[in-house]
Order: sequence, then C-alpha cells, then structure tokens
Amino acid sequence: MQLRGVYISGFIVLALSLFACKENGENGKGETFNRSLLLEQSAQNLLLPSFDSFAFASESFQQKLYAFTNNTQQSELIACQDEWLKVLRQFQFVRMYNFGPSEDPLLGDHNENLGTWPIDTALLESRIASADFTMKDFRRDTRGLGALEYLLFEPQALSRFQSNDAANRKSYLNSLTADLTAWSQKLKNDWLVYSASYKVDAGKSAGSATSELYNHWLQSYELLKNYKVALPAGLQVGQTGAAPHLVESPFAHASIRSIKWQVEALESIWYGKARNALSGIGFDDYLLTLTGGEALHAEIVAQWISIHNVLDAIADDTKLSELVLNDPQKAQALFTELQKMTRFIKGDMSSLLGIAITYSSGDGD
Amino acid sequence: MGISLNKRMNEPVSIIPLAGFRVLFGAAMILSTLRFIALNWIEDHYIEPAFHFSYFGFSWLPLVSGEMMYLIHGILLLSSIAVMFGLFYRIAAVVQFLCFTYTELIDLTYYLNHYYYVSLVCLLLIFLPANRAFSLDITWRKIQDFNKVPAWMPGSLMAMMAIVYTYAGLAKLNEDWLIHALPLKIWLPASYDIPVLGNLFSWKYSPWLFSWAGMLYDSTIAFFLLNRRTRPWAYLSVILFHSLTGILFQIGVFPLVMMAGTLIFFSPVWHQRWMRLFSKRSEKLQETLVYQGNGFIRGAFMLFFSFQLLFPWRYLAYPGNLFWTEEGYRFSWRVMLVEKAGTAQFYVKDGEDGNAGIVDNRLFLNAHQEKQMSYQPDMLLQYAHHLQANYQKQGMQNPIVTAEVYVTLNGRPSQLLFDPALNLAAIEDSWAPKSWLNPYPWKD
Repeated sequence: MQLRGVYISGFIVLALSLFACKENGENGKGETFNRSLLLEQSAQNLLLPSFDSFAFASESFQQKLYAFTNNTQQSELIACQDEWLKVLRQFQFVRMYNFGPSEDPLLGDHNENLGTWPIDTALLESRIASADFTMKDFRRDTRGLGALEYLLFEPQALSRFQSNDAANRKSYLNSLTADLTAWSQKLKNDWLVYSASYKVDAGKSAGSATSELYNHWLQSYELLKNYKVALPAGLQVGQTGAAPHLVESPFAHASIRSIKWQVEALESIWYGKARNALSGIGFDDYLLTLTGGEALHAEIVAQWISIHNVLDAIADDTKLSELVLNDPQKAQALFTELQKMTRFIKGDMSSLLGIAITYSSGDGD
Repeated sequence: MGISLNKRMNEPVSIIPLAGFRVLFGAAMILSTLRFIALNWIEDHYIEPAFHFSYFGFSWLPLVSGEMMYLIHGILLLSSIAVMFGLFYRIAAVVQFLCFTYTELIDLTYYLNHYYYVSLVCLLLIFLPANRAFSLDITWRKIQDFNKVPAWMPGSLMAMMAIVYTYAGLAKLNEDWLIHALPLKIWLPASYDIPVLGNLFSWKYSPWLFSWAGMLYDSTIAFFLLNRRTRPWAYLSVILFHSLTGILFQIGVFPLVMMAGTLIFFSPVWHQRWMRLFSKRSEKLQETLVYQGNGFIRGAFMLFFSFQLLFPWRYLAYPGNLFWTEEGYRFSWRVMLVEKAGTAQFYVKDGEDGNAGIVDNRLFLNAHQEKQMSYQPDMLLQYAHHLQANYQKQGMQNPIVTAEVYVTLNGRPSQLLFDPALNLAAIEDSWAPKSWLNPYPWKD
C-alpha cells in the first residue's frame, strides 16, 4: 500500500515536471531542428525526383539503343553515347541512396550493380562469345554503366557492332540495357512506396532514415575521394605511380564530369538544394541550429568552395587518365581538398548532430 | 571499529536476496544473449571483421571459428538458463563467466562498462552459494539448502553495484558535465521528437537539469537503496532513470541489467513474495541453517574489492587530460560521459623515401571498429601495427605507418591527436604515459 503511494507520487511529480516544461515552452525551449522536415524535403525534392530522372534517362537511353542495334550507324551510336552520358549524370544523383529498397538481398545494392569499375573487359568479351546474358551473378564488373560504356565507346565499337557476327554483342548490349532499366524502374517505384515510411523515420539511432541518409552520404563521399580520385592518381597504399586505367570512365573520358556531378549531388544533400535548384532544408540548416554548429557550418561551406576552386581549374572534357600522368598536382590537389572535408563532415558533424555514425547497430554506454 | 565491521560482515542474513539476484541476473543474461544472436551480432562483431582489436595483455587469446562462436553463445545461453534455475549451479556459473568473458575479450571495439560489470558479477557468482535456496539443485539434486549466509555474500553484490554507481557519479564531477552541461547539451536536443518526453529534452535548461540529476543520482543511489526507509523511492528513481536513459540512448540491455541488479538491495520478504509465485520451497526450512563461507574466498573477495576501489583512480598517475589521452579511462565506470569522435586517415610508405599511400580503413575494419579506433590512442596504435604487418606480408621491406587523426570532444572543433609525421609502427603500447600524443588542445 505504502509502495503504491510512492509510485503514484512519482508519476505525479513526473507529470508536473513535464507540464512545467510545456508551460515554459515559448521562452525556455532550446533550439531544435525538425528532422522530419529534412527527410520530407530530401524525399520530395531530391530523392524521388532523382530516381525519376534516372529512370527517365535510362528509358531514353534504351530507346536510342534499340534504334542503334536495329541500325548500326555512327549517327545512331553517337545518339546512344549522348544518352549514356545523361544516364551517367543522373546516376551520380542516386548512387548514394544505396539503402532501403536499393538493396537487393541477393545481388547487393544498385551502386554495386550499376556503378562498379573497372570493367573486366576480357571476361565481358568471353561472356559475349559464350552468349551468357544472365546478369545475375557477383561479377558486377561485367555489367552496369561501365560495361555499357565499354561496348559503346571503345575504339572499335562501331565496327564490332557492324560486323556479321555481332549478334551476341548486340544481345549482350540489350541485356545490359534491360538490366539498367529494370533497376531504374524498380528503384523509382520502390522508393516511391518506401518514401512514406522514410519521411517519418526521423530518429537518430542506427538504422533510422536520418542515420541512413547521413551515413550513406558520407560513405558516398569517401568512395568518391578514395576511388574516383585517389585510385587513378596513384595515391592508394601500394601504388607506385598513377593508374590511368583505373579511372571511372576510361572509354568515354567522362571521369572528370562524373566527379563534378557527384560533388554537385553530395553538396545538394548538404544544402538541401532540390533538383530544380530551389533551396530547401538540408544538413546545413540542421547544423546551424546546434550549439557550436555555426563555426563548423562556416568551415564546411568554405571547404565546398575550396573543392570547387580545384575542380573549376580542371576543364570538363579533361581526360582524367591523362591528367594523372601529365598534371598530377591537380589530381593531388583535388584529393587534398576532398580529404580536408572528411574531418568536418565525418567527425565533427556527426558529433554535433548526435546521429549514430555506424552503418549497423551496436550498443553504447 | 575493525571488529565491528568484521562482525557485521559475518553476521548471518537471509540467503533469499542472493537467490533472487541469481534468478534475475540469469534471466537478464538469457535475454541479452538471445538479443545478441537475434541481431546477428555474432556475424557482425566476430565473424565478418578481418581484424580484431585485442585488450592489452590478451593478444594471445585465440579467435575461434564462426561455428565455434555460435556454439560458445549457445553454451552461454544454456549456462545462463542453468544459473537462473540454479541447476548444476557452480559449473554453470563457471561456464557462464568463461563464455561471456571470452566473447568480450575478443575485440576491444565492443567494450562497454555494463559488459564489464556483467563479467565481474559472473565471476563473483561462481563463489557465492546463490543456489542454496530457491533452486533446482535443491529440488532435483537434493543438495543442502540454507536460509542464512554471512552478510558479506549478498553484500558483495551490493558493493559491486555501489561501486558502479558511485564511481559513475564521481566521474561526472567535471567542468564539462556540471558547468557546460556537456555532452547532454548535444545529446538531449537530438531526442526532441520522442513522444511526450521530447518537450522535456528540448527545454533549454534540461541539459543542466539532467546533468546534475544524473550526477546526484549516480553518486547517492546506492546509499538510498541501502536504507530501508528510502528504498522504495530510490527504486522508483532507478526505474525512472534507466527508463529515460534507455529511451534516450542506444544502450541495449544496460537499463534492464541495472533495474534487475538493484533488486539485490530489497528485503528477503520482498523477494519471497515473487518467489512464492513459482515455489513454496523457500519457506520450507524451519530451523536456521547458516552457510559457512570459506575464509580463503572471503580474503579473495577483499582483494577483489580493493582492486575495484583502486583501479579506477589509476588515471591520476598519468599526466594530461584523461578525456583526451584516455589513459585510465576504461574499467573505471565512466558511463556515457563524453561525446567523442574522430577521423583517422592512415598512410603507409615503404621506407623513408617511399610513396605515402592512403589506406581505406573499410578494407580492414567494420564501421563500428573504425569509429572506435578513430579517437582511441591504443586502438590507433594496434591498427598501425596491423597495417605494418599486413603490408610487410605483401612485400614491403620497411612499412612506415603514419596517420592524420583529428579528434573532437564534446562538440569542440576537432584537433590533431598527434604529429602526422610519427611512425606509429615504431611505437609500442604499454602502461607508460603516451608522450607521443599532443597536449590537450582546447583552452576553453
């Protein structure tokens, strides 16, 4: 009886304290940031439009590709190549969302399946020769955008498709394209459904939508820095010099553009900048509401500018494979500026946001 | 006074709280192990990583195969069930301690204060006759039951709990916690969206309120639990405190372990109430039978507690700021005390004239390992040595391992932890002060 009285008293005290806090709400409320709004806007302005654009670009590419395989003329090939570049661009805006419905339980996520490089051209050619068009194994270096690039951009592309025994080659190209459009359509549809739960999953623990968005954003940034830039520049441990054959786009020479597009995509998540260029709620706004966030915000903004300064000094049509050999200081400078950002967005920012940085769950104490 | 303390320690008291603790602790262990298996953490923590961070002095401990790791968790589960029911208790308690402690010692990454506490309690339970009442050993194996034990026996479990709380409270007596309300000023607003309580968390003054309340709670709760008059209130605050921390932070079974563990302070009558739901056995004995403790074990317990009381203070022997150097940080009940993170970019070159290449940590570590390694000096060293060995194996003659490590503490702008030109592979870890670390960088 006495214990029951104690418990009731305790709950009354708790209720009163909550009530008191609510009463003090207007003046006493600390700064908070509406993470639901960030998720809502990231879904509506960035994520869904990006998957839409990717699916649209993939479809357009498929149409041009059918035209080419039916009529293997140079003009048709060039049209295909132009559309492939558009797909590559749109892919940079979705490749970081490799969580939720982007993960195939068997094959992995879309970034692995569509964005792997370098391509094993010897294996790819042997698959063409043996008419193996399944696209359902773990040799992701025989499919995706890189494989399409090889078939469409390699120096003998046109003549190989025009030869009399090009049937298997055309079938492989069609299978690659079908795989691409299947992925892009599925991503578009599944993300539309998933976005309903994504928008409201505003917690901060591992596995929440906020944590997934933040962590995959970071992961994508690191992949850009370590593999798109450092690897061909010969900056990875064990490399004795530049590795021009390891650029992302060795046949279309779109590696520099791809880097610039991915930086734009990553930056748009930071600023919450919509695909239609309208400004929205992003991690930058989140940071500004936090104690100590303003100084860090200024550092990050300044670092984005530094990255752009280095990138702007490299022309879009520069071949990264040549840059790393002939002007390695520029590649090194790009890596250095990208590296400087890591400290801010990986360590400092995760600490201030209070978001679990681990990609998987784990306890703390 | 010495005689009086000695007398009080040997005074016969009811065995019932000790038996009650055994049941509740066993149940918590069962839940914890099942949860660990269900979350696929055996795979994530032990099997998938290519490298494990060892505890200082335990690098000799072998890593068993994945199948064996599942088997060990299965045995841990069975032994915890046996401990809970008090069946083949002594053997079960030994197996429980060995299995649990082995899994903890495999990788320093997953060090948690409450796992350390669990390991210590498992060790203590081996030497306590917690199966001499309300157990299947009595019902089925017909071992002698007792209704009294020397006070130091249940007292040791109370003392362990008191050390955890009180030291956690003492650790909070620092400027960041009490004056700047850090790290709660970072953590609380992040939980603004929790239904009902969110209002409380986002209130401007809540970080200070929670910091002071947390410090006072930790520092004093053991004393209030000891006192019969204040115990109900104290336990209410145990429930409130651990429910709140459970809601706020990703701390797994810790709240449950503490809410169950603190029941050791409750009276025999209270424990008998819930025991009666399962058995009438605990009331069977009419005469008073006192379990006679072994003098050697009592001596060992005194040594154990002397160590527990002294070891957390070892940080005083090191120069520098504890939160920056982490020398003496672990095994000291510094629970949820700082918000710390880092970024560690490692470079390896072959000899002084070699090309320094960057290391992608993801090739060697999982995200959890990388996060922990990025700001803890001893783990940074271990990783550097691992890289050295790895690249030596790959053909490098003289791998030099350097790292650019930036660390942030309680939201302060990150600073270099040590000179990026240092060859970490040439530095051996030891108990000696880590003079290679930069001095605490913030003037506040």
